[in-house]
Amino acid sequence: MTDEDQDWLDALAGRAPTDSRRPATREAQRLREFIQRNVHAPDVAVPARDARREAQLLERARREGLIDPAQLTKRRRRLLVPMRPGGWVALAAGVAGIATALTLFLHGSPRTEQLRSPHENVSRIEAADPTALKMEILDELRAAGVRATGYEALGIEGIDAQLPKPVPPRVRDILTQHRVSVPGDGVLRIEIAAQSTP
Amino acid sequence: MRACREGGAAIEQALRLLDRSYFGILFRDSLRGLKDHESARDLVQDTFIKVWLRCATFQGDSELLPWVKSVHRHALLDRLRKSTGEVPLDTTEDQPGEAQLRIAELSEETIPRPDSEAARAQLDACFQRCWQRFEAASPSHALVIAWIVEDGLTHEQIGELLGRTPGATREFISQCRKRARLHLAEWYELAFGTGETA
Repeated sequence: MTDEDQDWLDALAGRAPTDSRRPATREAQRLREFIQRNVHAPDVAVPARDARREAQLLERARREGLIDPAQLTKRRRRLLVPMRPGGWVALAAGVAGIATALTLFLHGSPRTEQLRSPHENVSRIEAADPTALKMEILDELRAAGVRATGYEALGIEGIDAQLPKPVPPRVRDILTQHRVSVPGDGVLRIEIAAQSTP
Repeated sequence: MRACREGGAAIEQALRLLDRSYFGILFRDSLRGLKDHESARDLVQDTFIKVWLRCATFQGDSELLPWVKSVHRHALLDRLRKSTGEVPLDTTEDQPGEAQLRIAELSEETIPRPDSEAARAQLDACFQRCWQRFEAASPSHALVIAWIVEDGLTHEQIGELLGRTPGATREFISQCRKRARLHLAEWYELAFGTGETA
């Protein structure tokens, strides 16, 4: 890269030029003007929340061994083993940083705050055998043509699914039978905890 | 670190938050480069997994979104490199490059010069047409140029995105300029006229 290329890069990035009369600067300024006016990421509608998408991500994370550390894949072992002792401190700080940043982001953004509002729509039910009930509901939903994903975390069994619209009567019956309300937005999230002893 | 230690729900929740907060912005950026919804979604989910695996490199005092974007953009460029196998342009200093030859050819053609403000629409249309060709022929270079304009990337930031040495990054930036002049030659001719950008 020549000095001229550096002028071009600076002007393209919108940084103040050392000499605005230089050809490379003028070239990049004009290019920048047209890019700003004509080049944009595709304007496609993307829902902020998509149960099916989240289920796919979590399934992928499980395959990678992220969710259950006991099932670490070879890939992750390769990434973790060479880490220096100090790296674990950095990892801890990094994860804490992500958690903090995510929290700040969520609390600081009106858009995401809305996501954490009562629209959460998680149906929480209890069962003597949560795993068995989860499997039962999953089987029934899948038999009704719903792509549902099951998971387990901290003793809570869960089910995520994106229901078809309108929700078919058969699916409504399954949910009603298990005392799960039909979500208005089609995003089904069920958490099943063990029955608390009286 | 709490999420790593607890596993299950904490990690799942963190991944859900990543998805809900950033999927849209990363998906549109992916789509711009890959032109395919399925590949774009796959790349974004791959990014979230990488973000989690690489959280040790996140500086807790920096903003999360720029870091997530840089992980994503690095992955996007990597995927484009593998799928398109872009060939470097001739960079010999003492010989006229392909870009210069093409611009010279165009300067001899009878392209009408805009001579009024009314020609702005014509220039925009020409630019959009040329940019599409640029994106198709050199997607990585077109993307990086767009990112430079959008985010004011510096030489160092581009180097991080590419995962290249400072020298190789300088070469890449030089290639960006040459390729832009090659694929946008028709627009260059209209916008600058003969010789102004040489």
